[in-house]
Amino acid sequence: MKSFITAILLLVASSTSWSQTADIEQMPGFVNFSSLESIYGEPRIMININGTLMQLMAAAAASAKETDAAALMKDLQGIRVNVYDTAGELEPALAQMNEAKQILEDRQWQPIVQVKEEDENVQMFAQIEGELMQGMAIMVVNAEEAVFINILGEIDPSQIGKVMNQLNVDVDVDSE
Amino acid sequence: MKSDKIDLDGEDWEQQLVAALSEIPVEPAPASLQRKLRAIPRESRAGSGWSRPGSIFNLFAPRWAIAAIALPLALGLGIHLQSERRAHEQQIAQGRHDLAVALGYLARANEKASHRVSTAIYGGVVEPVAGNTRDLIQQPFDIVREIQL
Repeated sequence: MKSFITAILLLVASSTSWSQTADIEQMPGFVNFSSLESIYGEPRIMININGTLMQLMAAAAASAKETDAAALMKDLQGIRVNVYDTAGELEPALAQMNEAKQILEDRQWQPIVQVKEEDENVQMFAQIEGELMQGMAIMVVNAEEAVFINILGEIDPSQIGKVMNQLNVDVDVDSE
Repeated sequence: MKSDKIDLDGEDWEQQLVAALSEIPVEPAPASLQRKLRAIPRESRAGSGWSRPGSIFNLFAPRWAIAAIALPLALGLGIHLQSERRAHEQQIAQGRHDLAVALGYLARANEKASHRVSTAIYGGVVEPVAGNTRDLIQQPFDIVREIQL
């Protein structure tokens, strides 16, 4: 009976996932990074985890006693990652970064880190409401790649290391 | 056989009725009736199969017709739910991998940023500190010189 109810919930979740994907673009923490496709082509890595899948993952992590991972996932509403190969052509990515930066500043996002060097440019913005961080945008552009990360929901950076250990997934982002 | 009429007004009319009935001779049943009566158990056994009306195994009973429709539906739904569940499990596994990759990139960006920030702080703070220290080293000589004067 329990598995039947779980299956029904999964069915309901799958039927709502499309609307969740549509809703994610309406969220205040959403940042559009898709305009680089016309310059760099399809992103090398494109990750789009919506709120429904995140909640399913949180429930699965909680049932597996992965408390840190479950806590982190529970507060997240979505994660999007786009990684483009720049092949030394930095200008379009830097233009996109500056455009996004302008939009984020207009939306009253707080700049956390801004590193501007000859070979690399790193920008981190956070949307802070009260004492809660509601969203993050991280942009890294260098001669090899342009990385755009958009986190929707609350995140505690100190949890990331623990969560990666709990996820028990061997990830080497340099070779992804 | 007595031919006395039963006195229905009397007190013992019941005994009289029983006595009168017991005096009636037993008549053998007609042969045709006997054949029919003997055939009943045989017919009863023959009719206890799948199609006997009123039997729980009657294939034509509505409950069996409903069951015949419901069973494939239930099996189909079960298989569908099972495959949906398997697909969701795969989706969750893929999501975990994607989340780990996303957090990996986040951690790397964080590491790069913190490294650059500490470098910037080092470059910006150490120089003035070194300059002040140099000035402080020279000051005692000036003070001593004042005392001597």
